[in-house]
Order: sequence, then structure tokens, then C-alpha cells
Amino acid sequence: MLRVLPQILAFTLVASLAAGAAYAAQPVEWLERMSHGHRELSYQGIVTHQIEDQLASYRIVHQVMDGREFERLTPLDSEGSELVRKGHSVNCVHPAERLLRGVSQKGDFARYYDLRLEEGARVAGRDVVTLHIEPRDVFRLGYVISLDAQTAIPLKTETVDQRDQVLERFQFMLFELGVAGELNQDDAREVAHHNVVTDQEGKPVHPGLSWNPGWVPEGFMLADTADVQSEALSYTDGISMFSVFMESANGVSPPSTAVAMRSGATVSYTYPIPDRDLVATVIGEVPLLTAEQVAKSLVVPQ
Amino acid sequence: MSNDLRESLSALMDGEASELELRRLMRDSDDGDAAYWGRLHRQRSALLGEPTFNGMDISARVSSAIAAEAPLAPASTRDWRKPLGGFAVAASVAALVVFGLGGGSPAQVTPEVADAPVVQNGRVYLASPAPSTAGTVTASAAGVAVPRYQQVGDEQSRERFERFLRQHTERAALNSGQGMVTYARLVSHGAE
Repeated sequence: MLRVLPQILAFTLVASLAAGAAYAAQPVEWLERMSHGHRELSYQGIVTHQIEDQLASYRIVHQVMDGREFERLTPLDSEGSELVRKGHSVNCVHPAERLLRGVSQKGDFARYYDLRLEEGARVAGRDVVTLHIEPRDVFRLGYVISLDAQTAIPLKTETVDQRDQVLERFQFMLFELGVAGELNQDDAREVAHHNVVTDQEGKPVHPGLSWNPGWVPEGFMLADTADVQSEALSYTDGISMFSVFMESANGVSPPSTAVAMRSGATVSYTYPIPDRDLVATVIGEVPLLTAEQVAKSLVVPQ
Repeated sequence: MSNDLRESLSALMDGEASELELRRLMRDSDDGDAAYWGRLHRQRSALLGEPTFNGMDISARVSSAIAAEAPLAPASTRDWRKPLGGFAVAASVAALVVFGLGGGSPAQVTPEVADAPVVQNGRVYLASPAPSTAGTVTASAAGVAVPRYQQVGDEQSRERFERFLRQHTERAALNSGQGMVTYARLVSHGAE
């Protein structure tokens, strides 16, 4: 019996170490790493975007120099112009990122999604862990995200609806860490970026607008606000996002009834506000149910 | 109402009614008996310190829900249905009603049993209702086929979709954990 005791002790030690290792790979921690990993490293590759039977491919270059992000997306099989984002501070933390960064402490995310981790697959020649993000209510879409095991950069993202149908897929065909040389930024379209005013953060409604949604699904908060060009609000729950736009019906010949459209994971619901010369459009990567309910909940004071 | 019936109701409430008594109750009880049954429950709730329903009667709603269902077999007797037919269903309805009570007054409680959104995986959180009257919450959009935006005949609707998609994506790219990859949504559209 005494001879067995050290073996039991050794086994217990190994078991507890294994448990510790398992804890370090919790799904929420991968989610947290994902929220900022893709911004802090330089990488390049070929990425495809698939909707139903349509496939388009792009070269993507992401470079971090002196704490600033430079990014370029070039279509490889169409005439579309390339897009560039430059000089964006790595320290600029956006609302969704903030939601995900605190996810393992606060646990809010787990109220709205079930998280599951799967190991052992490969994407673009690299080992990945696959994060299954399944909505717990009917107001969100699901995601299957394959994260690079080394950097937590998403190498494959599938957006799935409530029936587990894949709506849209982003996938790297080629992925390399590190970028040589500097980005050539001539002739490219620069990407805009708005900051959320600090005192509006975390609030469900925007006090400066004449209208507001009367309802958004639980867990969504303001991510972006109106600017001079448009009356718009954007909401995020950390992974999904939708925007609400309000336009005057004057001159745009509004639809007489509500119009729903989709493209990939994105749906839009355009809703003429009853008895007002206003048209609201809710657009985003959410089920149509969510877009419709948000549009119909809009409160426009007389 | 006979004393016999009242005794049977008492026994039923304590779970001690025989099957014979139960059959007799179903055959002979009237609205007065139903009211007595309700009083018995309120008294017990008060004794146990549970929140009382204070006269709220869901039997009509349960009965109408049952009446709306296609019958499994031809109904032979109808008169006992109203007060007693709902017992089996009442348990499931009661769970919703108690959940909805929450401390508000019973008059405000309107559990929308029939309108709960249908979901494939069976997990549903009921929508928090919109605080405004404008916010009519519907579940009608679930499962509706939505046309791809390229298939929509109205040129202006397509133009609106593209314009708002661009603005939305510029906002979303910084909030999706994906980075610039999501801009592919725009460029793919521009190419078509």
C-alpha cells in the first residue's frame, strides 16, 4: 500500500497540472485574445469571402509600425478599388473590443452565447482552435471561428443562422506572419473612423438625437453614433453589430411598405415610420427578426 | 352546490380525491364550484405566505387556448371543460404567470403564451417588451424568406442597401474582432 502512495500523489499532481492547462485555454480567453490579437501583429495573406456559391478573393496586408496600424485590402478578381486604413493607433480600443476584453471577468457574453472550443484542425497551413459561438436567444447569429493557435488571429469565420446554415464565410488561403517593406498607399481609398464620445459609452440610447430605438436586444450597446453626414446609431454585443439609419422621406421616394433584403450575413429592414415623413433602415449581421423589431420600436417624438 | 361536492373539492385540493369523486366533480360542478375552488387556493396561498393571484382568472384563456386546438377525439361532454379541463395545461401556464408576476400588480400581468417566438434549438428568452407603445414586438419575421438584395426589383431599394451597407461596414469593421477583412463585404458588392 505504501508503495502505491507516491504514485497516487504523482498522479494527483499531474492531474491538477492538466486541469490548470485546460483552464488556460478557456473559450472566453480565446475570445479576449481574438479581440485584439489581429491588430497588434503584422501579417499578410490571401483571404476569400464566400456568399452562397459566390467566391471573391483579396490580398490583405496588416502592418504595425510604431504602435500604429496600417492595413490594405486589394481585390484580386474584380475591378473594385483597394482599401487602405492608415495610422490607426493600436491603443484605440473600440466598444466591441472593450466588451470582449472583459469577457472572462464579467461573464456578460456568456449570458447571450454558448461557447465551445474544438482543437486539432488546420487552416491555411496553420494549426487552429475552433471557437463555436452559439446564440442563446433568437436575436443573434452564431459564429464558428477558427483562430490561429499561435496568435489568435481569425483565419476562418463562418456566420451561421439560427438553423445552422452558413450565411457567409471568410477564410485565409495563405497566411504569413510579418510584413516586409512599407505599404504603398497611393491611389487607395482611405477608411473612415469615428470615435464614440466617452460619455455615451455603454449607454443604450444616444441623448443627442431626436429619435431612439425603444428596444434593442439585451446585451447590445452603443458602438458608434451620428456624425454630420448621417443620422445613425450602431450597436454591438461584442461580436454582432447592427446600425440604424434615419432619413427624410422627402426626395427619396420611400417605399410604401417595409422592405427586407439580405446579402450574406447582412440583412436590412427598411421601415417607413407611420404618419411621418421619415424612413428608418436597420442593417447588420443579425437575424431579420432583430432588424424588424428594432425598426418597429423606433420612437420619434412629434 | 352540495356539501358533498365541496368536500370532494377539498379532497381534490389535498390530493386525496378518489377517481369516482373526480368524475362526479367534472360532471356536476358549476361556476359557483369554480369560484369556491379559487377561494380554496387563495386561502392556502395566504396560509403558506405565497403571493396570491388576487382573483385573476386564467381559466377562460386556458379554455380558449384549448378550444383553438384541434380535438384529439370527438368531445363528448363540454360543461366540465371550462373549470376543470385546464388543470393539466394550467401547470405550464402557471409557471409563466408566476414568472411574470415579479412584484407588479396582477392587473398588469399579460403573459403572451401564444406569441413566444419559435426557435429551432429550443432555447428561447422572451423579448423584453419595448417601453413605448410604438414598439409593437412581433415574431412574424422568423423563418420568412428574405430576397437577396440583387434580386430586388426596386432600383432605389438596392441603392439604399449599398449606401447603408457601406456606412455600417465602416462602423462594424472596428467592432467585429475581424479587422479589415469585413470590408470584403463592400468590395464584393461593388464588383457585381
